[in-house]
Amino acid sequence: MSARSIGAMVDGHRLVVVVGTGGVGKTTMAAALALGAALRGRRAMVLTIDPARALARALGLAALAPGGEPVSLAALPAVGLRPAGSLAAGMLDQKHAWDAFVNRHAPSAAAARTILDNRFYQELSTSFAGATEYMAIEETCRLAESGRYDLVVLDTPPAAHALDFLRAPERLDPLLDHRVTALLARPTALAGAFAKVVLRWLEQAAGHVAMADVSAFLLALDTLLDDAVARTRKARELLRGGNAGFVLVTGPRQLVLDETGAFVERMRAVDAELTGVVLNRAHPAPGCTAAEAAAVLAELAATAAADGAGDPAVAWADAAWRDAEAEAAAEVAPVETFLAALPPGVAHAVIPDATRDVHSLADLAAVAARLWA
Amino acid sequence: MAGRHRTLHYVTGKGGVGKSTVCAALALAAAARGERVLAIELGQPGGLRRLLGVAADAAGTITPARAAPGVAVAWFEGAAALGEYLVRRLRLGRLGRALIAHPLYQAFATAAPGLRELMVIGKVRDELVLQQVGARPRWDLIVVDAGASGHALGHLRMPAAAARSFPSGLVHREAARNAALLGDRATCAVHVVALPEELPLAEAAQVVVALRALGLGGGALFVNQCRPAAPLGIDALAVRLGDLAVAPALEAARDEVATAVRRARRWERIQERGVAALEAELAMAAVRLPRLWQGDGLARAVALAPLVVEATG
Ligand SMILES: Nc1ncnc2c1ncn2[C@@H]1O[C@H](COP(=O)(O)OP(=O)(O)OP(=O)(O)O)[C@@H](O)[C@H]1O
Ligand SMILES: Nc1ncnc2c1ncn2[C@@H]1O[C@H](COP(=O)(O)OP(=O)(O)OP(=O)(O)O)[C@@H](O)[C@H]1O
Ligand SMILES: [Mg+2]
Ligand SMILES: [Mg+2]
Repeated sequence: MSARSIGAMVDGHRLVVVVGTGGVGKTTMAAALALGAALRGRRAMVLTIDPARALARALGLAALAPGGEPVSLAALPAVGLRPAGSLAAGMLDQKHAWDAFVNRHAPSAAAARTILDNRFYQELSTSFAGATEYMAIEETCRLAESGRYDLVVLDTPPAAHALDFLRAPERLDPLLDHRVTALLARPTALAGAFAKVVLRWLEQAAGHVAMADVSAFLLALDTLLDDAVARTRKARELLRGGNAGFVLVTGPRQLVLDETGAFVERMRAVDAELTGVVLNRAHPAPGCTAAEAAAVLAELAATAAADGAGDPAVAWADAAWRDAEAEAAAEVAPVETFLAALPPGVAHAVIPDATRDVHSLADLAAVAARLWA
Repeated sequence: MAGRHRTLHYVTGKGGVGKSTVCAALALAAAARGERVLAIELGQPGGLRRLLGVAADAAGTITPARAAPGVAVAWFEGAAALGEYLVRRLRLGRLGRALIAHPLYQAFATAAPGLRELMVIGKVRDELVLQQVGARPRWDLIVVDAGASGHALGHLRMPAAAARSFPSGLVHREAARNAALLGDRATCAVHVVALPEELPLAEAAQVVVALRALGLGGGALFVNQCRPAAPLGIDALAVRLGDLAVAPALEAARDEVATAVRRARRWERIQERGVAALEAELAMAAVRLPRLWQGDGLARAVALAPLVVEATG
């Protein structure tokens, strides 16, 4: 294990962002980190995105409240845990969050309506690459500012690359530009000859109707531009300069090295801190030799044959053992290379693959114990 | 050979389920039949290129795969594809670059996000219909590693959506052409890959339903990394194994093996229950691909190729 645990690093942060590719266990780790902090006396909040149904149930997220609802920790004393702090959980709904954002920042109800009804807004708020990330950051800003929590843990949507999350605010930049709306508002009066060429050219590509729609959208957007720009700047500050810790979740069989390497570089470039890496669902090497296992299986086959128990079952058990052995063996090299390449100061944890879904509070507490080990 | 089977294959599924492996299997099998194959990766370059031994280069470049003779690899990316396409179709020449740098263009391309996806599909279509001398198509088979399902669905629904959002103009015509290509079942198939676990299987079902709603059903559904189904009597045997009388020196090994067998059985149950539920919900048969631990990623793709080809022919 590293000098400091991921948990110990999280203890020093007020905001932690959990990133990683699809299905690696981001939501699970985000919940475990928040629970671990709650067990240690902090007022922790986890903002999840698309949690597995069982986890949502364990966190009491069935009756969804985006702002965060207290999670009952009543089940924990039964497993010997006495939480000193509190846990809250929320679930981000992207469409809802975008609409709320527009309503908050538009100067009037009518201006908000114009945007909400625009066809391009509707596309943008649901399908724009980075739309969920952007809103997650926005919501996190609000939670962090509320003063209700000592720690906010932000889950993130699956991304091809963990880097996608960091790029989210930049992706909106082209829209948040007064020059553009000024050009669209008064193309003839203001625009130079070149801008007119661009407009004509876009119209040729997009057609009249669509171009009018896009223009209407950008013009409507102009009314909340200053607010939005300020929020984006705020969001960036919140994520950078050591204010937030980032935890990268990955698996033992993916080509984690490339991703982690690139991520570390990119984070350094934007002055964000990679706090730790979780290698989730690992299969540790078995605690016996192949020869010993073979002896056990031979013994099993002999007694089974004596009792007339089926051959296929013995063969299946035999194959199951060899499969487990091979799976663990296949992970050794990637995991070693991965750990050796971790930059100094980055904590790591290896979490074994559980035999079932990790979702109850007790399961999460067991994961948390490893994150603080 | 060309024209007999479908020539354009998209592959999608949750992260890490084996999409790139299935793509590589398809590509390698076709190349082994003597076909010329283009394997395309969308978005960030990654798994497929590493699998086929191609170093990273610029978006849009087509590179022969050293590890797989007969296969060429490319990665297509939205912003570059959009700019390139518009410059070409509007015959902008040298002016193009300046136009693309203009804030108006940038705002437009961001506000109408479907455009990028649209142009990437347009580039795939261009490759598919490219003719060489003698009117032979340049590629006999194109496989597209479309990435994680959320992203891929957004991508695949774009042509139809854009054809509606842009009622006229160049974009409309392009969108309509691309929608027609994706919807043509004689040419194009979208395959979904899943793992035999509760959540991934449930998600795969949603993806297939969504694809059908888009008129893009008809591809194969792979459940990768399957265990063999357990025979009758396995649970009794597992109990017997746990209680097996062995020499004291072997007791630790017995417990270790017993745990491994119980774990395997628990995952196998989840697999069998999940696959049965999936098949019932979708009224289609899933194709099981076995767990393989020998060799590297490329060797796994080669080993899976016959099963993959049979299901996608
Ligand atoms: N250590 C573990 N052992 C066994 N199962 C695990 C483990 N960690 C996570 N899981 C299970 O894996 C599944 C995916 O986990 P989770 O939802 O946390 O991933 P995610 O990265 O948030 O996925 P997505 O990218 O889809 O949001 C869940 O069913 C979860 O219970
Ligand atoms: N049938 C199999 N048995 C064992 N390992 C497999 C099998 N299929 C794929 N793998 C391995 O699983 C890992 C993930 O596979 P692959 O890269 O194809 O997934 P992917 O869906 O493309 O992932 P990503 O979402 O990261 O692009 C690789 O290491 C691959 O070699
Ligand atoms: Mg998640
Ligand atoms: Mg891949």
